[in-house]
Amino acid sequence: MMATDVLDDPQPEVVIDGDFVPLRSRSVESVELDGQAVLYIERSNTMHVLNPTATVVWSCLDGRGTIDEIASDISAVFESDPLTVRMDVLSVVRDFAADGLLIGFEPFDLERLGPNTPTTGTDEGSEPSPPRILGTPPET
Amino acid sequence: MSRYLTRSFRAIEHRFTIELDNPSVGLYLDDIFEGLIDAREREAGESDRYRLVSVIGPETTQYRLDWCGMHLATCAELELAVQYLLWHINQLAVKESQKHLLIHAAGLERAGKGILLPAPQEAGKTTLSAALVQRGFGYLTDEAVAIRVADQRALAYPKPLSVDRGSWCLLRNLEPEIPPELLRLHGEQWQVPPQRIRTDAIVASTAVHYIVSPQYIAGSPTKLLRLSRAEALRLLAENSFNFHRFPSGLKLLADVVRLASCYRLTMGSLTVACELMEEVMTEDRGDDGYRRA
Repeated sequence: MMATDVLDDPQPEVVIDGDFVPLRSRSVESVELDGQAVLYIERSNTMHVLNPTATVVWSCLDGRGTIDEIASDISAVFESDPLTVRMDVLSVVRDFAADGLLIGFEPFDLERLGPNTPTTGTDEGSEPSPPRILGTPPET
Repeated sequence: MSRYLTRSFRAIEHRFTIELDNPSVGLYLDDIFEGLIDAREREAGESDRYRLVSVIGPETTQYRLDWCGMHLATCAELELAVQYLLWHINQLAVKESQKHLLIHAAGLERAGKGILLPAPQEAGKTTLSAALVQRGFGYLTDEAVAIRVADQRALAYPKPLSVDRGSWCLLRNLEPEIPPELLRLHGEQWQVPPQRIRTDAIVASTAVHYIVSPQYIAGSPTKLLRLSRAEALRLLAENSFNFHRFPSGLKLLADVVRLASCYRLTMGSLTVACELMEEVMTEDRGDDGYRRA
């Protein structure tokens, strides 16, 4: 196999649709407080606070069900319109992917997807912050 | 040259003594650090040694500050050297603690219930803390709270309250009484020992029942708004000195926040802010969850 063969054989683009099976990234820590999940990504020192809807979706991303199946379950449990729920779940999962919170969409994978990867997030997300200091020393 | 050695002090895990050639300044430091006296004082050999001495030159006198034999600063003014010393002690207090999760927050207590006030500098933590201690609240710190892993209790760092010049008019009765020759040590801050406000002010540790993030905005209405526990957790993490390298920090903060009532406090009036804080402690809230004044 020649080097040019590799360059001519691009990685297949991952499509997030109803058949996609999402799985939470193992590098994301999460806790839930009063129906809101707080996600912490140590490698980037960023934190996300999810609204209740996104929290429910996040809790379902165990790698066992497709988006369509997840949406169907949520729709049944909350007695909500299936089409609306499916749209919401798709939107939220795509946001999770854009923020690097899913297996296969972590930062080293995002480069593979190219520059058109959506960049909207589930919330603004906290920027990585420098270590806190207690003021600056007096000028001497 | 006279030599003065202060008592041994403990700032969270930073243990230190100060050697000086100026007994008046030594007595002043012993006074303001009274709340930090190290219970293991007789093991002074384990303490870091600061050394603050005057360097008399042909035309001027300068002030040299060393720490553990290493030169930190040489200052033209004694007050600058003292300010540097206070700054360095604070830095090492938060840097040297590996056992606790440290939050940039004031810590208070009332009837066994702890209050964390996480906020960046200049938000009004110290001014609010001083006013509440005058009203009978217990004092843990105006700067950095240590959260103990085993039981999520907030531990005290009862340093002197550093009251900025802008708040002096609000806390006039807390003006330190020091010899005239040391008045220049005030600089832009009073250092007020908590026991000077109330002899029994210091509380060693407390369970956290309230998280209130203050923000002083001149001329604004004073109001207390509910904060979700998830947002309070993010606030604590953002105001932490060592969250990003502390094992299981997220879970620890979640455990702290889980049983706490959480608020944002916008302050235009110190008096009203204190009244709202006292009401919070009695859970006297309106149906809309907030009060304005």
